[in-house]
Amino acid sequence: MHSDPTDLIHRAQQGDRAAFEALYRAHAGRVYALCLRLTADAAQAEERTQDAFVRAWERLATYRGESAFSSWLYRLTVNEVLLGRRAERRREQRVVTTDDPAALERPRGADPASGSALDLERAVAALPPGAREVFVLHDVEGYRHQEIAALAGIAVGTSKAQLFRARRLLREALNR
Amino acid sequence: MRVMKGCLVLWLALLARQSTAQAWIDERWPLDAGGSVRIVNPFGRIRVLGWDADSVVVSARLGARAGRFFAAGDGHVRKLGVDGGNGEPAELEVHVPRGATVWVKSATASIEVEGVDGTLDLSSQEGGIRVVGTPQDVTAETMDGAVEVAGGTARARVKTVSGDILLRGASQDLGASTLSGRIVVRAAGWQRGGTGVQRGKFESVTGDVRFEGELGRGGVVEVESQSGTIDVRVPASAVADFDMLTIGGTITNHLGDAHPKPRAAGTGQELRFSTGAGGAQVTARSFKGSILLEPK
Amino acid sequence: MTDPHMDAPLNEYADGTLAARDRASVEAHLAECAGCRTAVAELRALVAGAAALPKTIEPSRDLWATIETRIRQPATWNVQRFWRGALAAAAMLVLAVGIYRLFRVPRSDLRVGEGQGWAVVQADFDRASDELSRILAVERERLRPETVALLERNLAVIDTAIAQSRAALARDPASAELRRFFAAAARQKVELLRWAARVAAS
Repeated sequence: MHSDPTDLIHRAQQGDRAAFEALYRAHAGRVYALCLRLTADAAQAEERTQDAFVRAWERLATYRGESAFSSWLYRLTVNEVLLGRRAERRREQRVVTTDDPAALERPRGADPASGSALDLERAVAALPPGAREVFVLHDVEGYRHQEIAALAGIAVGTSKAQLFRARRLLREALNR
Repeated sequence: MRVMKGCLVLWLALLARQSTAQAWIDERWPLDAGGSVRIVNPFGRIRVLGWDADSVVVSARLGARAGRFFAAGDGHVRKLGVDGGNGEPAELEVHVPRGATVWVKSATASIEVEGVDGTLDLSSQEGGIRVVGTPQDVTAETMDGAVEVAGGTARARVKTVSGDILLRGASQDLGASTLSGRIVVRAAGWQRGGTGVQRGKFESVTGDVRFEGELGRGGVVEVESQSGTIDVRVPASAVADFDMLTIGGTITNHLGDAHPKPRAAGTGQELRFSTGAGGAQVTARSFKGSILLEPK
Repeated sequence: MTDPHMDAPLNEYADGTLAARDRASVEAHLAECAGCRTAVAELRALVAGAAALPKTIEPSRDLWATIETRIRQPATWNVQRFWRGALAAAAMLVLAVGIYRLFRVPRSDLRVGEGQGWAVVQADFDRASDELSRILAVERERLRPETVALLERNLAVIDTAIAQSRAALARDPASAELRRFFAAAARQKVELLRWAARVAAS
């Protein structure tokens, strides 16, 4: 199978599901990491990951290559997660499993010696949702406040305030 | 302690410096209780708050390159907003008399309206729109932003192209149309102060549509989608005539025993049944998507 | 832990986004304030730690099967025609605005009346859609590039739906239900073009 990404995208746009599966394999880990950190709930993260790829398939025809495919996909993912929360689309009450270490234990690809990275992951998962989302988008994913504000439907000032609050709470948690 | 005080002094000094980099606007004008307000702000944020004073008050913060603030009008009509600016955001907070008619326009600025009982006409290109309260009449249109209307209104018409739409509360006449956004309607019934939806029309091309709520007596709800999934949830005790049809999808009914049949005129499925006489009417049509009918 | 009021300047200093003229006073303060120095160091370590977090995390199970089930749908449209149509619509977007303003296509022309011949209705739609598209093509530069991109993307979506409707109608031309779907999709497209025309004109 051709691994040239442009070819894969083109074929997926034409309805080639095998090509789309290859795209899924290439990006699933990244998308899932994003969903997991934003939602702090493994089960929800799985659902949002599926939603993101399904939405990507539906909107694939509208991807014109103006930005990198990965940027387009991750933006779509963030949209799915944040809009999902805003529009209250939860079907059942979800228990926020911040106490469940399974989701965050030994993320594949991580340096096994980074115990502090695990502490940070847990501390991020324990943040209140608004602060967590902004922290993940800004400090982990590198979005700018302007973009975060547009994605999350908040003011830029609020995004900054949430970031500073998140960082303060994290410092307090990690200093304990 | 001395260290802490030193920190505070620094902070105050920096705060004073920051203020001069932006423009702060604070203005107040009288306006009749039923007057009109027109607000324009292309980028940033617009918040409109209803209050019990017969005046319009605007607090605005404009970034250094955000464009020019303007205002004009009299005791019946007030126009205000931000002109120009190359994408630099401005944050506007406008208090208006509760019964005012409010017209807002933005390019990417988000629009929020709270506590206004008059007529709202809100339009944006990419900004999200959020309405909370009991406006008499709401028209909200945005291309890419999401729209949320919460509370209760006599009439709401919401239109997006790709933004999601959420309508919740006690409203009587609802219309929502989108191309690829999702529509979620949560309609309250008489227990929560509403009479249930009397008239609802929800349509999408590719977005999923979910209607969940109480149906007003004699209410008519129509849901139409090209390829989105339609999900209708009404109380198990709802009295209504149901008419569902899909050309390319399937119908699943968890509200009673009626089973879908193959469509008489070709491919697809249809399901028509009634849970009592003289009740509401629920129609669902999907071209390629599936239809799900469930108890709330 | 430093006072919360210090959060903004310290964070911005740590990020390097503090305005130049404020930097001097913050640095002067940091020279004297151990608490704030610690805060800045902690913030920088935190941000570095966040940026160094693993970029990928594999889900505990393979999610592809569910995704595939959800996306599986028969492809009913001709792919090449879709692309040609989408590109043509994008080019014509700009023209559509101008003619709309000149001729003001009235709403009632596009309502699917019971007594109207169906062929006439389809022809009306094609004409209105073409006119509006031509207008938009002319007025392209009046729209922000992001708006144009969004419009083109959504036109692609609606054109797909219209093509699917048309294909189904071609196989079963007398079906009232299929006509309704086609009319609804056609109306959505014309509404979208009209909306774009209004935005460009304002």
